[in-house]
Amino acid sequence: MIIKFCKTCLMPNTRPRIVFNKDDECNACLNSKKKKKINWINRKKQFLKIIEDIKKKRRNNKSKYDCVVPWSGGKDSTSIALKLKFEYGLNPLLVTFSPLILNECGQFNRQAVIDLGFDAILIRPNNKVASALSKRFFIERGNPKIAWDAGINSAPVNIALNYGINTIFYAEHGESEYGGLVLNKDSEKKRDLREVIEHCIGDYPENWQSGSITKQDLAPYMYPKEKDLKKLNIFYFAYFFKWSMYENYLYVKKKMPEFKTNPFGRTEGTFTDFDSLDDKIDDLYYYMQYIKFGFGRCSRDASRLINSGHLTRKKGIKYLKKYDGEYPSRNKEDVLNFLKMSAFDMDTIINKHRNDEIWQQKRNNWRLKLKI
Amino acid sequence: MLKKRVIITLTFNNGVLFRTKNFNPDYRYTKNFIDLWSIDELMIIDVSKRKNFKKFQNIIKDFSRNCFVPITVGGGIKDIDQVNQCFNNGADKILLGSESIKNPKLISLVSKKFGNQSIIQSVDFKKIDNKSYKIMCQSGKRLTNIDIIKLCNSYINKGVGEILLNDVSNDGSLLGYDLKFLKKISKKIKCPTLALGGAGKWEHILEIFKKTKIQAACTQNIYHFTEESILSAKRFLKKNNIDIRV
Amino acid sequence: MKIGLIDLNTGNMGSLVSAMKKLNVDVKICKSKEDMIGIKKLILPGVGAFKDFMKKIKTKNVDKEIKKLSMENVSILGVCLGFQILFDQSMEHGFTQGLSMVTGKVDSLTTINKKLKIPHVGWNSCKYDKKNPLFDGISDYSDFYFTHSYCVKEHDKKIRIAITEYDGSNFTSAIASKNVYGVQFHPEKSQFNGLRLLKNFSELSQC
Repeated sequence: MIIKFCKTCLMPNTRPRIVFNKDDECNACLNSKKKKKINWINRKKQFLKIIEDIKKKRRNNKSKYDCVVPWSGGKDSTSIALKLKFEYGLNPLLVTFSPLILNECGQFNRQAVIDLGFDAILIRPNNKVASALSKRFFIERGNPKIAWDAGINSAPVNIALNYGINTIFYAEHGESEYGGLVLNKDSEKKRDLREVIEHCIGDYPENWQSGSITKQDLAPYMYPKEKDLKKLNIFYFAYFFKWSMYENYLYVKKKMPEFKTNPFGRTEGTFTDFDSLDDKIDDLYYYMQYIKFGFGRCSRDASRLINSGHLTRKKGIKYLKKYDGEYPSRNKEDVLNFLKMSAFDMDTIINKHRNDEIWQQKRNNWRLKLKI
Repeated sequence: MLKKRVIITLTFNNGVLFRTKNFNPDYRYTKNFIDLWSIDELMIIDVSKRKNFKKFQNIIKDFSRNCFVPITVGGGIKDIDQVNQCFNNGADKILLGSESIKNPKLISLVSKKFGNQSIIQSVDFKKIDNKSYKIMCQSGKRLTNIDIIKLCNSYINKGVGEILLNDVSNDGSLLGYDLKFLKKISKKIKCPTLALGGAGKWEHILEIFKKTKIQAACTQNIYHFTEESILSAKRFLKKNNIDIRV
Repeated sequence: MKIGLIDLNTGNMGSLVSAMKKLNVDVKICKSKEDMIGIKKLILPGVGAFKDFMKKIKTKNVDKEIKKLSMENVSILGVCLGFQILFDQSMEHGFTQGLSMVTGKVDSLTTINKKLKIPHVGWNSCKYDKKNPLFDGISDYSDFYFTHSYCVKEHDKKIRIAITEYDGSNFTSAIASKNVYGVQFHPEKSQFNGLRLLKNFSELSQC
């Protein structure tokens, strides 16, 4: 396969489910351009109608909450929580599926938001199971967050069903925002379960039963039955308001000056200090994308900022050359402890996942064949 | 007692392992640790639009080096010469596709030289609505009006050993096999049958064995293809009283 | 000591060669009777049609050589079709003469039970009839991979060492007659059990 890069952002065509048009522009960039032409006034009208409906149905609700917000404590979900409560007058229940390895920054930020007056639920599944699944999929698929992905998809939905809350506001639709496959037109507005299963996880958590993991252990990761989901309205906030992760960050920083960014100044593997800061395993997670597909955290952040108009491609390439693929050493000890693995084993697994289309091995050194 | 089989199917698009959806290459799979010990059989199919036969042969050679279960190989196989090459490179069975509709003599040729047990014939079908199904050809692109049972019987007469019922509509859906249709058809086909298209949970595989006469459940889902997954699936099936090799 | 592998270009030799390689057993590919000189053990694999296979064997005089080696106490293992041709005759495609190294005949599985779906393909278990070093270390009722429409019958019960049941009907899945062994299944495609059987064969002491 001929490896090429999107002419607008920095994504290579090795990214799963990305599609390049004949002008070598990726679907994320095309989508971003489309965003400029969207009638956002109209979209906001649709949103206001939804809010109005929610408020109208309050009396008949089983629950005192108007909606569930899947919430990590980061800038994106926090911006949604703040807007829904303080601008639109809703009473959201914040639902967090616990990061695998908690860190101080994430915990501080979550507490700061809660202190503003929110109800929040933290779901922290059995850590032995979480650790075993993380290890298993790190080894098998080069991704230590497969089970966690299943969890963040199912936890808010399970809570909504249990508490009788009919609406969920997710942040953005990953497939259209970042380059992927959209199964149907509606899935930009309402979350499509098929996409979640087929693209995110690719598998059913029920299948993960093994000698040491039982079906009960997998309960926090399992999605409810499709027929139960019919009562729920699961929206993407980004459908109604022009989405930009950088502007979300600016918004949160304005409303909450105490909101912490990366205490080390710059996140490993990228030039930003404000994105995805709540899980110590994230450095390894994004590093594995670099290993498997040839683009790291820096490419990802730069591409998003290029699309939102906050970074030029030229500058993005400079950052990429400097930071992309930086080895995740900062939290390595904690990650090794969590995965119950030695450093040697971890590096062996990392090397096993190098895609031979893009990596060349010369003696003990690996060279990325992709050059932007 | 002849056991039921779970067969892993790997689809390659231009030499890269790919997931398919409704017979179209969907997206590439990352390099997984393909595990060859607990599977019952392996099927490798070339789903590229433009076939590079040589490249595909290299893939077959790679797999057969470490595989001690039967390997079936297919994808646009057109003539006896290609069949020969596949066998020389490590295939144990050939999967024939639409070519058999165009050129039915190919089956007899292969069967005569290698025996009928060397041929699995793929029958690709698509659900049109609740009452009708159509046979597809040309990699799920063209509808035909051929009667499925008549077609299968003619295949068996020409020397086909097994028939693979390949569901175009369900391919990649992860929602389960089309049990109703497969139950009806598998009863009427006189040779062993396999099913492919829709496997997501282990329950889907259980249903196929409990409710139809299908002998082998094929899954194209790469995440099923690790030692842990296969063992998990087989343990689940055995717990539910399916005779399977564990 | 090398084990000879008869190769008459009738199918997948690769699997057998890979299997022996994995077991660290030296093999010699034999395409003609000249290749078979000095062989102390012989594996006769086969896929396809009985008639075709016999024709090929005869054209190269390999049949005479196999029989000669057998007389000289060379251990022989026939696999699948290679097992079937050890017998007197086959009813596939009319009547075809076999090697007649073992008394008995080959006929369709449907002659045992006309309701049987053919081919018999998949994993099935071998139930021991007699203990034999060929199956050392392999438990009774172990699974092997079968793929055939024909089976052996009307042979001396004394040589039968394993029986397999298919849909309620039994057929002979393995025999041992002095230094001549035969298995209906494919050991090179039967994972651990098959590899173990091949290892056992390679380690059999001479008669």
